[in-house]
Formats: sequence, C-alpha cells, structure tokens
Amino acid sequence: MEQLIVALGWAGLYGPMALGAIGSVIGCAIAGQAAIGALLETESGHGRFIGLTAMPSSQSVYGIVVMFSLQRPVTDDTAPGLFAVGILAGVALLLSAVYQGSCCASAINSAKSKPEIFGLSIAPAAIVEGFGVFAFIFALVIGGDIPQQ
Amino acid sequence: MAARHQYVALRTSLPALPATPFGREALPISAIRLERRLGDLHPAHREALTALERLLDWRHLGKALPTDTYLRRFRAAEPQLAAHGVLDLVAVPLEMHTVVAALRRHARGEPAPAAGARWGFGPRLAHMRAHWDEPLLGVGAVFPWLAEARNHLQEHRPRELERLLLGERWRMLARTRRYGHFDFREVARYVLQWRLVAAWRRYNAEAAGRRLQAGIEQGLGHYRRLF
Repeated sequence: MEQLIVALGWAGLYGPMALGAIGSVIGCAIAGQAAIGALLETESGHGRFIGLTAMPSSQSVYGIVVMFSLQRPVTDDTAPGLFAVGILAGVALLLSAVYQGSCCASAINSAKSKPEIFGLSIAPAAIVEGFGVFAFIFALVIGGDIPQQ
Repeated sequence: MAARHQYVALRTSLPALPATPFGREALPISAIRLERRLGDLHPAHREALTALERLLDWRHLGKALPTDTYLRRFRAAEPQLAAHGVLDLVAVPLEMHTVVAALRRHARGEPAPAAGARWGFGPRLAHMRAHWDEPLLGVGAVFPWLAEARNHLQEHRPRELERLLLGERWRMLARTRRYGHFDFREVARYVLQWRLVAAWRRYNAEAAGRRLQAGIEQGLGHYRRLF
C-alpha cells in the first residue's frame, strides 16, 4: 500500500509535465495541419499561420514549472498532495492545449480567406490559454501548502 | 487524432465558398483542383462521397430513371452514408425533390398515388397522399418555401423555381455546418455546396447561350436563311 501511495506521488510530480506535453503534442498537431492546409490556398501570411501553430506549446512549459515547484521528497505525507495537485493541474493543461489547438485551426481556416480578421480570430485561443494559466498559477499557489518532507 | 480533426489539413486547404450560390464571380476552386485535394480522403470516405454524389447529381441518374430504381439505389447506399454520418445531407434534398415532384403531379391534375406505391422519399408520403386535394398537399407549414414553388410552377417560371430550390438546399447545408469540426461530414458538406455553386454557374452559362442565340436569330430576322 505504501509503495502504491509513493508511486501515485511520483505520478503527481511528473503528471503536469507529461500531461501538458501530451496536450501540446495534440494541440500543435491540429493547428499545424490547419496551417499546412491553408498554405495551399494563400499567397502570403504564411509566417503568422505557422507561428500560431506553436501557441499550444506553452502548456508544456507550464507543466515543467509546476513539476519543479512540486519537487520534494515523495513520502507518505507528501504523496497524496502531490498526486491531487499534479494530476489535476496536468489534466487542465492537457485539455486547454487540445482545445487551444482546435481554436487555432478554426482561426487559420477563417483567416486564410479573410486576413483582416486574423487578430480577432485568435482571441478564443487566447481565452483558452487564460484558463490554462489559471490552472498553472493556482497549482503553484496550492502546491506551496504540501508538506516539504 | 480524433474523428473531428481527421481532415484538418484537407478542410483548411479548401477555399471559402461565396455567401450565396447566385453570385457572378468565378468558382473559388476548379473541379480538377478539388478532385486532387479530395485524393487525401480515406478510401472508405471516398466511396461514401461518390455514393452521395451518385444519389444527388442528375448526371449519374439520367432523366428517365424510375423512382423504384432510385429508391433501391438509396436503400443500398443508406447504411454506408449513415455509418459516415452524412445520411441527412442526402435525405433532406431527396424529400425536397419528392415534394416538388408531387406538386408537379398535382398541378398536372394527376390523382393521388395509390396506397403502397413507392412514389417518393421521406416520412410524409402518406400525409401528402391523404391531403392530395389541398393546394400545398398539407405540408405547407413544414416547407415554408412550398407556396412560392407552387406559384413558380403555375406561372411556368422554371428558372425561378430552380433558383428557389437551389437556395433552399444551400441554406440547409449552411445550417448543418459545424464550426470547429474538420471531419468527413464537413468535407462532404463543402463538396455539396461547391456543386450547388458550380450548378448555378453552369445553368447561367447555358441560359446566357440560349438568350444570345435567340437574340441573334431575332436580330437577323428572315436574313438568317442566308447564313
């Protein structure tokens, strides 16, 4: 039982990083495919489409920061807190990255035929990013209450 | 990748269609280029799209195709279309065609179809047969455009009728659009909308050709025998 608790603690420690990275992989792939499709139909503005595809990668960075902030010896006392905070923060980052990729794909699809709405079309992706930032910040705040030993 | 993102690159590589099919601008993508892009479809989806087009495009149907044969074709394709989530894209226009065909028969003074006869498509066949004596066959409230279609039929305005039906099909397809989805259904919906734009352009070109020919003949008068 003790070993299981410790294993879950380690999962919580590495969870934000792994889940954030998985989300970024999926989100960037969705947005990237949209950008590739749009390249076939546009004569200019390719750079900003490609730039937009990198937007869901920020969740990986947030995951790394949360992981380092949670880093401490994994014991019976720290493991439950690490698991709860780490996994929930990771799931929030994963979902925000996937849906941000979807928003980016829609933005690219719309802006390819109407370039003047490009700025406005990335607003939904920015809002989704905002919720990822919430999860990130409050994981740092709440993680401070987990015992150090 | 989830099904809703299966064709992100393909869908975003297709240019935006005009707001209505009745504009005069050139097609946003040629038939050849569209076919080339559709080459990215999974073979099963390619087959489903072909089945969809065979049911809706009169070039595959011929003018004298018996209703029975047509319904058999539909029943054969139905499971495939339902499996790929595009059955409604064909069912709604087929019911529209049925209603207009019934209106034509009604206008010609033909009696109501016999009970049990396979004369059309959709869930309202029995209802229309029961209300055959009414001007709009009892389905005027379900199809708000039907009264206008009847007027065009009675006044012998085929072009206006064609435009009305095409506009209704366009609106139906536009209503079924799912933003944020890049799946096969969205690709099929795009192709069907593209075909409506192409059909109107072709119809316009043919009508313009006929008008030009009529104008030339009228202008030449009896001198046309010289040519």
